[in-house]
Amino acid sequence: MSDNTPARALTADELTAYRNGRSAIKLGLAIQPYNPIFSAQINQTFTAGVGVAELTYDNATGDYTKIVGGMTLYVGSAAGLYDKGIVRIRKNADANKLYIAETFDVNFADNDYVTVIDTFGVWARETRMVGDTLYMDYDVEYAAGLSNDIMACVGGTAAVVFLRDGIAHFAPPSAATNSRAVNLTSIASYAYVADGAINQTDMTTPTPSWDYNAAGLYRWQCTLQDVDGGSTTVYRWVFVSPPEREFELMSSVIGENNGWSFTVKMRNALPSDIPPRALCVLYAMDEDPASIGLLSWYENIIAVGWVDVETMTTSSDDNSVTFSVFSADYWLDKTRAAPLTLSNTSSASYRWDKIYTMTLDAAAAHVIQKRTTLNLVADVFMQEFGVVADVINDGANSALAQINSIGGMYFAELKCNHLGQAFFETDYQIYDGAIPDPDIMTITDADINDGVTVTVKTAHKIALVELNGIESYNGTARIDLYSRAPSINGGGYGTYVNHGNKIFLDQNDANQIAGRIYAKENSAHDSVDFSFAYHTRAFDVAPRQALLFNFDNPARGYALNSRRAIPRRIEHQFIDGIGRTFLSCEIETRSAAVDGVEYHPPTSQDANIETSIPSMPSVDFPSTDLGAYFPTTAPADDLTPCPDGVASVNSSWDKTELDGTDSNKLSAFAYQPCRVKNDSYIDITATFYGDAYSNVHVYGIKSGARVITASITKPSYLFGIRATFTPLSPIDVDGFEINIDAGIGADITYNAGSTAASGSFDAAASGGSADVTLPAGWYAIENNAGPWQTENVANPRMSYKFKISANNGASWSATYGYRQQTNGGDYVLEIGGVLPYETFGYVTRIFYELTSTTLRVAAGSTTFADNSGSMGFIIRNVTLSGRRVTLGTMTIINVCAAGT
Amino acid sequence: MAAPTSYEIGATLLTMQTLNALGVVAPKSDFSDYTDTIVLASGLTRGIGYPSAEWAYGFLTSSQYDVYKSFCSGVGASVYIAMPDNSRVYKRYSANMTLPTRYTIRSGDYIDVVIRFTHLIEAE
Repeated sequence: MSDNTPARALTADELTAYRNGRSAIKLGLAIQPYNPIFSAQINQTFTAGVGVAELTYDNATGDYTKIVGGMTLYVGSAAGLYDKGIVRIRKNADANKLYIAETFDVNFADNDYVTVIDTFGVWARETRMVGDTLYMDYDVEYAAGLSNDIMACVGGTAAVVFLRDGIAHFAPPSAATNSRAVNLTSIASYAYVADGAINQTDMTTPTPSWDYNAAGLYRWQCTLQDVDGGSTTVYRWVFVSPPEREFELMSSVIGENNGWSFTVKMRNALPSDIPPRALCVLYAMDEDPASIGLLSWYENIIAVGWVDVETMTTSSDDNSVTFSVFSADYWLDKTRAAPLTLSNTSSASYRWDKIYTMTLDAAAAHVIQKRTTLNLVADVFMQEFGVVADVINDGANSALAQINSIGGMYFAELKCNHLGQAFFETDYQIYDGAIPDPDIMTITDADINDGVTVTVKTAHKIALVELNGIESYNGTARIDLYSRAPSINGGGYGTYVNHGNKIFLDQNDANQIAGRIYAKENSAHDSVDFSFAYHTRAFDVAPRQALLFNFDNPARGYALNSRRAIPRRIEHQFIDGIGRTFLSCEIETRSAAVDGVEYHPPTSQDANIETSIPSMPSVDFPSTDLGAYFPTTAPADDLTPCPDGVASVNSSWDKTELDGTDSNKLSAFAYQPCRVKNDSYIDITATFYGDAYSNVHVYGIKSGARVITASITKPSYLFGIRATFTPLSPIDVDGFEINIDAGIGADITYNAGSTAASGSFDAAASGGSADVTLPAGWYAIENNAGPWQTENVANPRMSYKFKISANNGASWSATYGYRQQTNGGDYVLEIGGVLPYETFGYVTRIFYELTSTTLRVAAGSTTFADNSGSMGFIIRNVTLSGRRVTLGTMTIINVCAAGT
Repeated sequence: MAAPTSYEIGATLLTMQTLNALGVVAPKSDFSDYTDTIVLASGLTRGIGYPSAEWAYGFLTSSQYDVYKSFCSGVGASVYIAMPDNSRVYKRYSANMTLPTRYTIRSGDYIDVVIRFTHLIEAE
């Protein structure tokens, strides 16, 4: 048994084996054979243009109870053929009917031959609307209640093992390592079925094993069930001593972008020997070193995918068939996606498409589970990055595009590794994972052939990165966020890039990402290409991982040593018994990134709306003596004389932001001489932060003095506020003032930013501690490396405590941390003080004001019996955001010309 | 099995026989420790790939040719051989045997025959 963690650092022994080995390799090709389990003839008639979702059959051969959802159905004019089409079985058959995905593009006819093939692929689960009711897979209603699917991670799509003395052992990696219930409940049970296997052991645990005693292709399945009763069954395959194939690789085996592909030529073969969408595995028979791989029992896998018959060519000259094999991402990209609308809910009125706390990974999980069969055939690892969307509408034209469109809102996408596992995760360079990503190995001169090709930038490629989006939805308000890097104005070289329609955790997160994109795009090294002196399958384009360099000549002109390199393209070449791996990396520049800065775009001017004072749009009014700066001018021409009625005019404030902590930003003014009546009001577009709404005031100004005060309301249909005046009699004003009370207010947002320091302390029962010297101010302290989440592997959370002191431990402010309830319920936060905090994933982050220059962090618990190890922590700089208003447009309504 | 002391060949490890027993004379053999060499970034040369070998004959009689052909009816076959390595130590290997596809025949004998063995893996 091993953990299902397909990225890890190589051991010293493994590196030695690579460096001393001869990189001798033989290749094998295992192909899923044509494997019909049931055949029959259609016994019904059809109406043209009407979708077909079930087929009545007769003349059956085979056991219909063996048919399960996800299998493949050939429809042909003769037995075994698929000349009329190939469709997916959507659920188990019965004695009279086969149930298929609703199909419009196959010309079914009575007496057609149908053959069920024991082949599973990546397909769409089509949606269907009947009235106002939404269905998936034709007749499965989008139900009320939480979606309780489980994203199963039980092992690579296929393994290849060999009989030794008549026995081939197999033990999939632990299904408990990364499987996750979409609704974040615990997985309660595991049930494995391995037909054809002997010596089955621990089949109801996440770590079973079994043996095979005959060559062949075997399908095994695992049913995972969570505590809410949610259940997911997935399938995987084992080739046992597959027959030797006469084949040659027609291309390198390449992993790039979202997955893997390769092309082979099989000799002495016919197209019928390679079924459509047949599972195909390229595996290695290494001589020296012995197979070094990422997952036990999958070490020899080079690449896994499904045959695309559209790529198939035949040659009568050498009696060969050539075809290409692609990983799941390719098939997802060929899979149609239906329009998608998902919404967040914080109430109990959830439905499958009304997701409780709709994080982007929850939304992507919905697409993967409800609208594709991906997880049926491939592990799907979901990274939790805690970004919540209010509503997601997507019309992408493929399942992959739809998943990546959702992920793209936080720079995440779906990628497949060479084992056939899929990973929905953020880009390595953009966002830190909750768990540190592994450095696979340090590459030295002993690892590479010839030299390194570095593409160097001589000038910045990007002058300015601009991000715009909204803050992770908090259930109440939409908060617009804008950030630019490296500054408001940008650099001198390069172009401008904009990433819009994003969601960020907060302003600091947007600033950090802007800085990282800027640093990434302007890395001194565009790319680094080199070839290994050997063949290795130790790294991949997914999941997130990096390589380090340590060359004897550290400079090589480009200072690569100690920089992290992210594998972006991996190419395995095989020549006459030799395997070599070529790698193209992108150099990571995250450590050099400088956070971007917040900015506010100018208020757009609508050319079609005539403003009342077009000649003075940008008068900057001092807050202290307004009247002296008003020009003695007649009312705007377009204001109606009062005897003739009232009118509405658009105006603008002289500031775009009010900030309670900035004495220069407590008031904004708008110049608009007019007469205010008892039904006059101003609609103001604005976004309020902290407690700004309850501390905002609007006045009418005359000769520099506030002469009338408005009452403030916040209508639900208005993105801002309405300031209503109710004078006893009409009153002339020169303009208007909006003001907020000074101070940061009571509702403060703490934004953790760049790392200020890091360290670790001993978690022993006596309580180790670590001191960090920092300037006084606000900081965020969060758990990092170490056994912070060891108490519950299935649903990990930080379970130890730490405490903080500003006076070298003379007094401790409080202890904080998570603990587990003993009644088996969910985890709760145990806060010993009143300091603000936030949590995401494995991390608990405490915000703390350091009043001295020494911050001491220590183990906060002396009672946990399992305290052990070194507990890492990170201290981040913090900015406080409180009472603040961003101002947009304003419309003054029901006023008339002053003095009339 | 006793360590080999002369050239051997067989379809399986257990059915290997000396060339002498098969009526074939010992070849002039060429053994390569690696399939290829590459130069590392450090400047060191490193061997990669399986060992390979060639057995060369000035001529083979038709009966000797038939012996080799019995192990390889086509162009290539998986066989076991024993031969000296570059340290002059006889070892047994599994190998991929490749026969020529073109021969010069003179007076019934096969002239200048080179039999190639690749993917050599020590069998013991």
